[in-house]
Amino acid sequence: MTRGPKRGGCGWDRDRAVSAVVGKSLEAGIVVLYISTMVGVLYGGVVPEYQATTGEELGERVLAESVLEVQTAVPADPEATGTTRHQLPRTIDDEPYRIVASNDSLRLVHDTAAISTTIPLRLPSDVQRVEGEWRSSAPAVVTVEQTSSGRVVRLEAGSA
Amino acid sequence: MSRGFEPNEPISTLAGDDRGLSTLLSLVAAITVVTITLAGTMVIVEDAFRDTRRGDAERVTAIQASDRLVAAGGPIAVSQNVLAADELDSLSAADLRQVGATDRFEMAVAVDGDRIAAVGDPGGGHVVRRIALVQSSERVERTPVLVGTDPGVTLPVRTDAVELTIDPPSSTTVTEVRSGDRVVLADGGGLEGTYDVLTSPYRTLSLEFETTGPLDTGDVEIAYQSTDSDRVILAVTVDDTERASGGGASV
Repeated sequence: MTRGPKRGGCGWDRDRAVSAVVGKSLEAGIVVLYISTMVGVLYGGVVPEYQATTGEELGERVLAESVLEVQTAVPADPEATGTTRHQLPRTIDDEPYRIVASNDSLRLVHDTAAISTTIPLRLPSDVQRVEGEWRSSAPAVVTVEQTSSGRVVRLEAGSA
Repeated sequence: MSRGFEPNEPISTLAGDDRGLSTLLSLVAAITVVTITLAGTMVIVEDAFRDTRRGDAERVTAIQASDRLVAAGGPIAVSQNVLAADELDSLSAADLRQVGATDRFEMAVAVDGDRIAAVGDPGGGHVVRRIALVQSSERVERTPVLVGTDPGVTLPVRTDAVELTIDPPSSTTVTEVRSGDRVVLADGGGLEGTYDVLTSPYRTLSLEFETTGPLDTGDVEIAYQSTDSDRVILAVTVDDTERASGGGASV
């Protein structure tokens, strides 16, 4: 009488032990699925968007700082020359970049098109032209040189 | 046997189901809490990102444009921080393009709050204000009162140059003109006509004439540039049309 149910219970007990394993695995599976979904969503769309926004903003700031730096590097006195050192962040959005002087403006050249941007550069009227480029991986200086036709501002690698 | 089990079995099953359900429920609750927290964080981050857009490109363009406008070699300045009134009146969009306005960077220049020139129509963006002097200069002609031989005249003005027109009567010869104690014009044969005379800008203008006979009012005319300077607030607004900026006022 008491044996019958015990035996039946014994079979049921074994099943129940398995059900705990299945249940826990199911819970673990749900958690893993959830985490992987969230990681997928975050790194698939949200985080790259944030990185791009940060890169764009940082690129604009770096270029704006560079324009101000070139501005202040050119003395008001038309006879004066000089060399000024400039600090650039090594990378923007994990990529090296260049700052190129062309057509009376400074241009940031980056692999990501959205980060590349241009700001017009206006220097005293006796400055003939602005030329050269900075690479983010090299130390940057801006030199102001006297030539026969006027002053030339050059962005170049080097130390001052 | 079966009677003894039947009431037991559903109860034990129910208890087992309940336990399984409660773990599942707490799991769902935990996941919900985490998701809500994550969503909240993302909203905060999104807000923070919107706040970081401060428009550096338009700020730096406005700064350098205002620098160029008041610089000595600029389109409207006569010397550092001193603007010529007539140049300021005729400030054009081409002048603004010369100091950095482009199709992308719309620019407006205002003097004491009144817009005087613009490229595009900046509705917001960055404003740089600076104090400048506006110098207006006009030609003043005076006919001083002269009486008798060797007359002198003092005018309440300081200037570095005057234009002197001497037209003496035929009986009188003007041989010398002094400003202060300095001889500025001398001709023993007689001075007659229009002369440019340099004077000291640091003392009140005074002229003495050495004559052989009497001079009358109207025989000498003095013309000079009278300069007047006003302090104004020059405001340069630059709006970057390509990138959204953090609002701001325009003028």
